[in-house]
Amino acid sequence: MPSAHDIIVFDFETGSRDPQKTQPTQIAAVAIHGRKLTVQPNGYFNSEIRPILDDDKAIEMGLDPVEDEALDITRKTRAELKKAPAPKQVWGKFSNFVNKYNWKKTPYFAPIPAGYNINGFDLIIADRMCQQYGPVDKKTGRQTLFNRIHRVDVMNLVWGWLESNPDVKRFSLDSLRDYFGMSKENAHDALQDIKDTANIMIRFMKMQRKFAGKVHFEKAFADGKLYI
Amino acid sequence: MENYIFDVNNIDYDDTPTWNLICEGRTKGVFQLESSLGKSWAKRVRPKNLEELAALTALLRPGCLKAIVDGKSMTQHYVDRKSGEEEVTYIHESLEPILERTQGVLVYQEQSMKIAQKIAGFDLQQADDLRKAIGKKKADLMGKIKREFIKGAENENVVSREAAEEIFSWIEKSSRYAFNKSHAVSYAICGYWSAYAKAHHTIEFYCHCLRHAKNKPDSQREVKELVSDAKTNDIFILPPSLEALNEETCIINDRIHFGLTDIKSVGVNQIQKLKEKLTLEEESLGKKIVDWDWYEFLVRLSDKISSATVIAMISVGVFSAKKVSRNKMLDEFDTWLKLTDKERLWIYDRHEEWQNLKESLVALRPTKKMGGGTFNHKRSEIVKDLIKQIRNPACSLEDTPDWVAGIERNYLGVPITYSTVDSCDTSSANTTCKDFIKGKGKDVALAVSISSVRPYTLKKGKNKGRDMAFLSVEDQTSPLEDVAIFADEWEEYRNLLYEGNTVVIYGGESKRGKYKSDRSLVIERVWQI
Repeated sequence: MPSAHDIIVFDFETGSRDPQKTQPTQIAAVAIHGRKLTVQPNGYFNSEIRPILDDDKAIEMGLDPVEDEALDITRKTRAELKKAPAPKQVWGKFSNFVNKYNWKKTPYFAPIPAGYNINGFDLIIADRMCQQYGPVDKKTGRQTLFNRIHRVDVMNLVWGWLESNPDVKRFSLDSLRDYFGMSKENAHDALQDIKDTANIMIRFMKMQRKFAGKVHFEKAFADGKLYI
Repeated sequence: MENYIFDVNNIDYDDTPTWNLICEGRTKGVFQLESSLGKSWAKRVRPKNLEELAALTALLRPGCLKAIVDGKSMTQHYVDRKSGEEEVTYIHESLEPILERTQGVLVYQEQSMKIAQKIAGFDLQQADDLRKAIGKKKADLMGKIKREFIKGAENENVVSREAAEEIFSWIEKSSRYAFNKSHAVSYAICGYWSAYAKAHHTIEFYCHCLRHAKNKPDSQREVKELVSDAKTNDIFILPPSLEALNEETCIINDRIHFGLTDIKSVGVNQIQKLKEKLTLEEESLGKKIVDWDWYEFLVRLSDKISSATVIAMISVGVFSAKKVSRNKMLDEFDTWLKLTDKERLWIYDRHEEWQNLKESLVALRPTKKMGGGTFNHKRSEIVKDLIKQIRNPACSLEDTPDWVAGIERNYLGVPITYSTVDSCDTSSANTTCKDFIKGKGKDVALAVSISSVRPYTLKKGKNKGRDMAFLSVEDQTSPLEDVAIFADEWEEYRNLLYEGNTVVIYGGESKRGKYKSDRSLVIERVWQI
């Protein structure tokens, strides 16, 4: 049976590259129905986030300053970001948004986080935000916003299918956009990135479900033929 | 409903609507007949009087259903004989007066007692010993009674010794299933009362059933089934009433409202607290809560009770009459909680100056020195962010049917405002569950939510060993329990057929069984919606 959990595809735009220290400047997300793999009605979230724009103050707080190069990539200006709500307020609303899709309001039913390279980047930031603003489990200190068992890193998902394809040399989202024939317009805007990521994820998950229904895995190793 | 009196002493036991309800298997909530098994056999037995209803309650017991004689259960024998498909025969003609009312089937322990009296001349004490031996399945006692029975039969000379032995053996076998008639009749009367109540006092009936659903082993399933069943009678259950703040399920203006205690996360203490504060606030504001707008509730009452209670009440639609989406209310309540106690009090004291939360936050934002209500610049900046988020929310705050159904299912155990099908594209459907039940049967396409799936491995025929499945589905009009999908189709569509999914099922009715009630929907195609 397909997953009963909904999936939240999310993405941060940030002011630098180190996920442990970077300051998010935008967060966008889309809620996907776990079984139907369709966008939940009104299932989008998008907000800019006001970073600490004073470099000295940011460093003092253990954060990386917002880099001009990053602002160029994300096409944001310091003036625009200054008007955005503070991280705490945005994270509060984002938590409410994610929690909307935790139908039973228990950690087990928390939505599955998904995104592009979330294991190496976005989930690390999300965990930092949870540690700072909640929600976390008081006993274990672990975040309780997202499902703690399952996650869908779309980069890994695609790698599983295309790692032996000689035409795919890089697995950045931009490279895949080229390979899949997707437009790069608005690329590196978090909202566009999550839409593209969700589209790729849905295509591959549908394909997997279709194949999985036809393949019999039960007792697959019962004949004793092991590889190693 | 508190004044509602149902006088069982003046009830008509020949009431056609009541017997129709039982014969059509519309017996959810009816004592002894509310299970799928009860509904199904009620449709087959089609009882038309208390005698037959008592037999039905006895025949429904596992012993009768499992006692196979000549390849059929005793229950099936009774049904076939009643419908004229099987001849009514007696092991000996002298037993006819005792067994004729139950189609020649030995249903009750009391029938065994009468047989013993007639054939073996047992007195009442001996006959009662026989009943005890049957009921308690005491082998040593049965052996002793058998000897007395044969000896008595020889003395009475109503039947031959061989026939007496055969009759006793038959009685002995009935120990597996024979039921106490006094119990069966009591059950039948209680069952009839509840069926009568359902037929004539339908709203009150559902209200009571819902009240007592929480005492059932699987209360969530019970509530869900009752709400679905009520739909078939065009009764739609509403959220708790803001006016009554009713703790338990009750009827207000001929509509059933869930009680506040039916909402997960809402406790009696919180309701008491709410009622106490409400009285004071109503006096202070000079109007009843039903005339308040959402903003007034938010400012005057929402922080007087636990936030979990407020969230739960908003989620199930207690404030739906306020014409603000539930998501917007939840968002504003979240914003309200981000204010400090002093900031909330500042707004509370002046709230009549503004129309909504946004306006009050704009007034609050300046520091006290600047004529506002915030303590310092830092708080002022936080309030500024909150205003920005109200003006430009990061996500849509509209309610969608899917979300409302989901959140109601979480807090009430069942969606009441929308069916999960409501949020789907149902344009490819051409009928509803209710219409199918009423008789539309060919080339039907129904947009449904799947309630349960019961796979079944075929034990004979050309598809022996393959799986098929039986499903229960529902849409906004009614549940539909008799849905089947055969092996080929099951293999093709099984990945779509799981509990909770919404699909269109296309197919037609099947009347493969010999009874009119065996009508079911056989699925030929399925597609996701």
